[in-house]
Amino acid sequence: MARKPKEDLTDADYEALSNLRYTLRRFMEFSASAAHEEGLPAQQHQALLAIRGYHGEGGMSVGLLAERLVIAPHSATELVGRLVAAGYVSRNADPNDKRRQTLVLTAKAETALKRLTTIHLTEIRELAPRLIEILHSLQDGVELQDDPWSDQA
Amino acid sequence: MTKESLSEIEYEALANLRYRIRKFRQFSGEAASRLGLSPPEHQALLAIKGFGIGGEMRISCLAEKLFLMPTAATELAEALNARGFLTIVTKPKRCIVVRLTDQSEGLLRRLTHAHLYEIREMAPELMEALRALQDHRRMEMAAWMK
Repeated sequence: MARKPKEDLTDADYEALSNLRYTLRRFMEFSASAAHEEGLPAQQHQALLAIRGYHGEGGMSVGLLAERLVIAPHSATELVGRLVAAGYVSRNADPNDKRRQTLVLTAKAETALKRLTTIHLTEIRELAPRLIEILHSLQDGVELQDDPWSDQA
Repeated sequence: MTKESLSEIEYEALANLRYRIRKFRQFSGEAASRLGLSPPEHQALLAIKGFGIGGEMRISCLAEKLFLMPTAATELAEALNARGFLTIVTKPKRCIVVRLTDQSEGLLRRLTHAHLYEIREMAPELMEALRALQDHRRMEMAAWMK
């Protein structure tokens, strides 16, 4: 038997959530078109950024890249293949583990990513305060029950 | 841009922000599919509810909010209409309006509830990533103004 949540959602909750999604879509549209102008498909740009922005020990592997991009491991393998072919990424053997390869950006990728990141940081200066405000309003809304799916049969 | 080089923090914070956004979208897609909706279908219903007036919206406005071509928005609306999630009304001057049904209002309420719950879990990390980028830019601007 379906049970109603403790508190009903208000119009403001729906509005804030659609605002959040709209703002994120706009940011991703902006990002994809900036990447495109640099000659990179959006996903390749994200791969370069994920490799560049990863400061964990041992460097970035294909498996870790799949995790950071939230894609299947075989998709990450294909993506890296395309990036290597285009001269953006090279595979280096890990000195401690010969079977493990770490991904390293080439000078060409560094240059493209630097331009793209600069443009993105400018955009984020506008975007961040708005997103933080929306997130605050979503946090301050109705009191939620413990299990968000418990109103389902 | 006056600056010569970007800092490691900036690359890391931007990569983290994108990762958080992807994880949120992954959660959202899984939640939608749990209720039999594709992510674009869910986003269409949410946009109509959040940006529309009284649960209805012009299809041209829906296309804008979803960053879709008008034809793609129409196809999406027709697919939702076929499953009883939207009614499509043609008003004077060929203005087409889409309206949520009781069925889609119910789905959306459950989904939005789950999303608000998730957002309270992940908002601190997302805000931290945003603040890291913002604060850094602010410090840099201050240094540049000196």
